[in-house]
Amino acid sequence: MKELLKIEFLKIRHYTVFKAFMIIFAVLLPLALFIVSMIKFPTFPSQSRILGFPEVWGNITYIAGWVNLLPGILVVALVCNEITFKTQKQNVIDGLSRLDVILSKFYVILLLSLAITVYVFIIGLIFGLIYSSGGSMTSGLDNLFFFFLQTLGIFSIALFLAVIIRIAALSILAYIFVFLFMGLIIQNAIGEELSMWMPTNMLADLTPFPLYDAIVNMQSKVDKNMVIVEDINPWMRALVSSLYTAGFIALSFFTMKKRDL
Amino acid sequence: MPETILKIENLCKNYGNLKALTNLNVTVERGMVYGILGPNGSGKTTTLGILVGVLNASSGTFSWFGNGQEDANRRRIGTLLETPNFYPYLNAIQNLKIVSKIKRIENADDEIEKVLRSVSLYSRRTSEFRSFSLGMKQRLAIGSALLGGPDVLVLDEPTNGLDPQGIAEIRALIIAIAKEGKTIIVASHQLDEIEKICKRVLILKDGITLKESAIDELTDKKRQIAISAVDLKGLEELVLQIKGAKIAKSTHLELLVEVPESFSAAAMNQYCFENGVVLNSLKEIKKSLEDQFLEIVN
Repeated sequence: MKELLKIEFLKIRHYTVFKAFMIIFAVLLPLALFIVSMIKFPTFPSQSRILGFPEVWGNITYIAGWVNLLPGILVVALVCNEITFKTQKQNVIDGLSRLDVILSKFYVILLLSLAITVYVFIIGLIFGLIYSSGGSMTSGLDNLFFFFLQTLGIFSIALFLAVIIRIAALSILAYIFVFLFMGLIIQNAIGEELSMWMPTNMLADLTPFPLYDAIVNMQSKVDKNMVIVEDINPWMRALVSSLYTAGFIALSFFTMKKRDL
Repeated sequence: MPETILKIENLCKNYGNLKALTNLNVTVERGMVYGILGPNGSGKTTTLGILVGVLNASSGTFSWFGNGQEDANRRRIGTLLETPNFYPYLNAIQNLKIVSKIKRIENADDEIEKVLRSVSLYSRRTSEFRSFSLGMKQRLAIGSALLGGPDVLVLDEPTNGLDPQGIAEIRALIIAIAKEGKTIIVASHQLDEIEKICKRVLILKDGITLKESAIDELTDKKRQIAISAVDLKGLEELVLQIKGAKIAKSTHLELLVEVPESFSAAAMNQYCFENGVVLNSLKEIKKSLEDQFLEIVN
């Protein structure tokens, strides 16, 4: 693992696009939180309830889940570059196995997911300390774990799409489509009860919209006939999401193994 | 008995209904410089692609170093396949560092400096790959293949994109490496290149093996001698009495006679003189690999 990561580090450290995407992500996340802190919500909780402890963990992971679109695009670009430059082929010629090629990218997304999660924790901590009015700092930290699994899962889908499509522009479009619309399309096609078990929906629901429960409560008071679908236990969701992640990595490997480079 | 470096048995590659390679059988021994010849689309690159792990064979097997198809085998092989493949945003040293890491080369920095000097790219070592000319890219790819002193070199069109001086340099480099006793497998369109550096050749067409033999067998099997005399008719009758001789070509000026390898031009002169025919001209024509190649392929 260490050797494969060293090889990937040599490839990434001088890659300007990687640095640019990471800087944009790093700026965008606190900026989004800052904007949230500026907005006055008439019917919803005050800023201190959104960005203070413990609510900040649920809110920041939800927002970061959207900002994750960017590093996901980066993952697609990293894999497709190797195909475009034919360096993936050269790496195999030089002695990497096809499993090594997929594992090296998996290790990169694992480390990237971990780094992003740590960054989200730090930003959450800073905002929490600024806006808190005595809430528990440690309560709700499990959201960060769920966010980590979500990030890893989303990046695994990005990796899989890049491996099967191979063309950068098409892969990025497919990734954006899957990231933004696939969940909704599946939900409309097969209904909410089934769709929440599908990969994209399962991953998205790891960091649910924090005000979802409040909105549902409000709506159910207005609409007495409203059907509320029973939610999946978050830990069950974490388990199934992890299985999906493993599945996408395995599919990437088998696609790669079967294919001529 | 020489050590077998590569053994290919009944190797086939199909793309749908297209048979790109059919029942290839080859054995390459240590220290051999082995050439693969063939027109475009004959299966040269497909063969090498399978051998270095980027293409999956449809059937058949091959084994490097008697060690099967282990991924680790490829760390002992320096390969240049088709085009040079490097990270365009990295410089020559950074690119070669990645190769060194994959090949697990010790003293990578020294090795990188050595190969960059050997392919005359040391002065451009910190230039990004994307700024290189085609010839420089090709030289870097050859340098990369040489990294760590591999046991075997697999080169696909190694002089592609090089100017005449570059071709001569790379050819000299390959010959020097061959003299060190390294095994080299080279596919090329350049027949003179193969003729100059290879000991044994495989000729492919449409994925089928047309010929597999020592290069000497191809180029020197028959000796051709062009001769002329006042009485061409009498001369023709006379040379046909030589055992194994035949007229390859006849014009109103001279005869092109094919004789066994053991029958030299001097022997021909003496034979004619002793039989009362004085030759006006005598010229030995060595059949080139190109002649043989065209004869076999067509």
